[in-house]
Amino acid sequence: MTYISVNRVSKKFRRRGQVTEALRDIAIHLEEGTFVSLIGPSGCGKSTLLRIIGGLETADEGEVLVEGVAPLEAQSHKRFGFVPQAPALFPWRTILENMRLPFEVNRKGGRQTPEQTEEAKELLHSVGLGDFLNAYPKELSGGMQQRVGIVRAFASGAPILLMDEPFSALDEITRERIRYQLMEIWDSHKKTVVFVTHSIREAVFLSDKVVVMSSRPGRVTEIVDIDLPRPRRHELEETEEYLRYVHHIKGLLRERWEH
Amino acid sequence: MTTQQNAIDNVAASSRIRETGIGWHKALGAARRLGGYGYPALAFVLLFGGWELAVRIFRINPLTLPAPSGILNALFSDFSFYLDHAGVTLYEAIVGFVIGSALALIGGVLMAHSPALERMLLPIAVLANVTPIVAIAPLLIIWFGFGSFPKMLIAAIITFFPMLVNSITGFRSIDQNNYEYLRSLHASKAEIFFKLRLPNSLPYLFSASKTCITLSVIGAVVAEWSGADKGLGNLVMVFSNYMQIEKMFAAIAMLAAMGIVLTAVIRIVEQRALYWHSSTQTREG
Amino acid sequence: MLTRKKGMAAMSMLTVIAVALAGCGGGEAKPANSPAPSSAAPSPSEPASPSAAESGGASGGIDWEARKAANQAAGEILYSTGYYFAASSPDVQAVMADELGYFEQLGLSVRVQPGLDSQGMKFLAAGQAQISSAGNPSLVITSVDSGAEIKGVATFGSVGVNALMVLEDSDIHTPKDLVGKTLGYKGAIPSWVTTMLAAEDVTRDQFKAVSVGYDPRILDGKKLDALTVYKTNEPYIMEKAGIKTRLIDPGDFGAETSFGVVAVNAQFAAEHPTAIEDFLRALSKAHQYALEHPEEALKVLEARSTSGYDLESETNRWAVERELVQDNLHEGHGVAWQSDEQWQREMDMLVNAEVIKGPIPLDKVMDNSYIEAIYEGTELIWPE
Repeated sequence: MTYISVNRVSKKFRRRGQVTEALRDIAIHLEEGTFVSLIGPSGCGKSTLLRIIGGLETADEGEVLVEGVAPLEAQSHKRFGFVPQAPALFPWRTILENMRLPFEVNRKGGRQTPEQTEEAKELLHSVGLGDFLNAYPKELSGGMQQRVGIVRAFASGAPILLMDEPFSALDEITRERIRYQLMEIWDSHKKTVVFVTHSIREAVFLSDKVVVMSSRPGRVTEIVDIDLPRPRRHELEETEEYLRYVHHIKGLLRERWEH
Repeated sequence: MTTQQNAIDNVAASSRIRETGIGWHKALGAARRLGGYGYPALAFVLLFGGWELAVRIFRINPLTLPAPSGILNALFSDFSFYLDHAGVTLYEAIVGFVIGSALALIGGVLMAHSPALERMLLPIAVLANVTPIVAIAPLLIIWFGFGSFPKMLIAAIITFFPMLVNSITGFRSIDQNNYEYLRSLHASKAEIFFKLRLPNSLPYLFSASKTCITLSVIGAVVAEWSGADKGLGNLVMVFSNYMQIEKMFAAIAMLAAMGIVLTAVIRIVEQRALYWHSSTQTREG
Repeated sequence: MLTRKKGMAAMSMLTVIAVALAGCGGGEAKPANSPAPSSAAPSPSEPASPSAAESGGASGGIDWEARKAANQAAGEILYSTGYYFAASSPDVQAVMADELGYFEQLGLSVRVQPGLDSQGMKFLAAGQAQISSAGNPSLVITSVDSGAEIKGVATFGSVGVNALMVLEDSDIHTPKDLVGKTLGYKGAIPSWVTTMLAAEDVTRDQFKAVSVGYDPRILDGKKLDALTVYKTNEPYIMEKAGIKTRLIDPGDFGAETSFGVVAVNAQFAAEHPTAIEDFLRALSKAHQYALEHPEEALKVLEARSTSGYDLESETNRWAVERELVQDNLHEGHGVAWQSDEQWQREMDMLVNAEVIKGPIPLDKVMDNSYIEAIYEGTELIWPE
């Protein structure tokens, strides 16, 4: 059953008389529990698409259904866990208090249960932040903060996670480490994830499907099914199969680039 | 992180000391040992010592500028008298500050959420800000009499604009990622305000408070000049008229002390409230 | 740091307020060659100045040339007015003397500078002004009490220009009616108020006193029942505003004062007595002129005033003042002659009101020798 369906979605941005076609006629169908990446050059509308799915922006044309309802309605039921590009931690709250935030807001979904608090703590432990439960964000590095952001999304109880280039502000090494940690967490939670990235390697490693997009206007070039075995371990990145996918997607992107 | 900062401080301080010679070194060393209070104490000693010397050496007329020794003498020979009047001015200033800040916060909430409202009301606030209080004060006295109320009102007016501007900025300049995050949870405007905008504005509000509290004191003093029977502003004027300059300066010294204490209080509260902010440093010893 | 910031806050507050208050109103540039009392300015090596005691007749027997030379040697005299260019004594006289060239005629180089008398006392004390207007003897006395070395050498009004103003229909007729009422004063409670009330056994705790601003219309009979005023000023303002008022004269209750004092820097006066005498001489002559040509005098004042000038009010001020002056001249003396008694009574009021700790010897606050020297009886001694 299609969990998230994007049908013929278009979006234009108007700025000082200039019109940019951010998205044109996008069609994607995602199933529950899959990890999907959106990849493409800058300006291809991948972030916009992500935000439309999450109800943070509205499409000009077309329809998006999340669990059978409009994104805003899904949002009102707290079905989304959002991880933006830079860590969205509130500096005046401790790490644990930040973890509590999704439960404090929009209480129609209920308060944080003791079990959920425990789960939050465990998840933090599992990514190596067990000593920082009562620390303030200013005491953590960028990488650590982003880890908290990700863990928070997983612990929030939301079934759909939307991640907007969450690792782009991190250095290469940290990026790799977080990538593996993300995989581990996802393996045990199996949430539906829509993941926006610039990095082909990342997309292939993490995803079940990679939606390759092109820009001006934003379009879907191809949706690549990644048929690699799970759980994904870092040894995978040396295999031929993996590299073939990477190569293929690179080609798709280069093609469009040269146009 | 704090011990690290301290270490850096120490290295910097000691290298500075080496550079500037022995006597100076001793003074700074003493200042350093007194902890955070050492440096300002040194500065005060130099300022008042120099002042005292200047008055004596240049035989400056006491009508023009009395010596600190004379001022302190005048102050402490009748301390409870000055304290009494100080209490009046303090009361006027603090209540005025609170009123002004409260109104500024309310205005800030409204204007931060409605650009249309901001465009309408901000020019009026600016007008209130630029009108000199020396001109407004007599009017308020005529309308509201000689009691504390018009002084509080002046203190409130003088507080209002800086607090308003700072609260609007504080409410608006939220981190966009944090804002989006709350939106993704379908947070209501009220939730966004209380969980994000309000805590975010605290550094701005504290910063403005430190300025505004001293402005409030000045406002209360100026208001007293237009009509009062008690208060340090009133004293300054009376002593000035009686040509009792040392006593006048004693009243001024009291005002200065008031300003110091009030700012210090806010600073202490700020340290507690803004534990999480990058600007507050925690020091050991 | 916590304390660094509070230190800075304190210092800036102190500096701002101190600068604003102690230096406000004044601060004009020092005159180029006025000798300061504490600096080593050489006194002119002149013989003892020719005294007017030599006079036989209104101008005979005086070596005016020698006096002129002595006056020139005294250098430029900076005279500070008491209330900018308001038409009150001794400023009207000083301005007219300057305008009509009387100072020049006597060899005096005088610069008339607008200011406030409270600031003028400070300039005198510091030696930045040599002569200044003072509203009344009390101002000079309190300044001397605070360490200023200045003296009053002439007083134009031998009765007070102060009064208590009440609404015409108010039930206050004498000081004792003030019990339980509210009195407004400007600056500080004047000692004549305290004395006037004491005359009817009213003590400070029996009435409310509030400092007020300059608009007399605050006297509404509700929040304010009585107001200290100048006979020459506020009554006219109220009349123009259509408000009927009444004055209670402190002189009727043993609290008579004087007005229109010429004060000098004591050291300068001691070193240049001819200059002081001739300065007063010029003022006296100018006074006659201003009496006879009041409109012209007002026009001169108005022309010198840089900001707006209320010609009507000032005309009234001079009219009331000159009547007070002329109606109360000392028997057998010229205008501005002052008696010891005038000064003593104000000294006593200040002591009784505890504004000064104790009486000061009169010769420390006043000197009549100069004003005595310029008159022959009631006639002014003037060069032919």
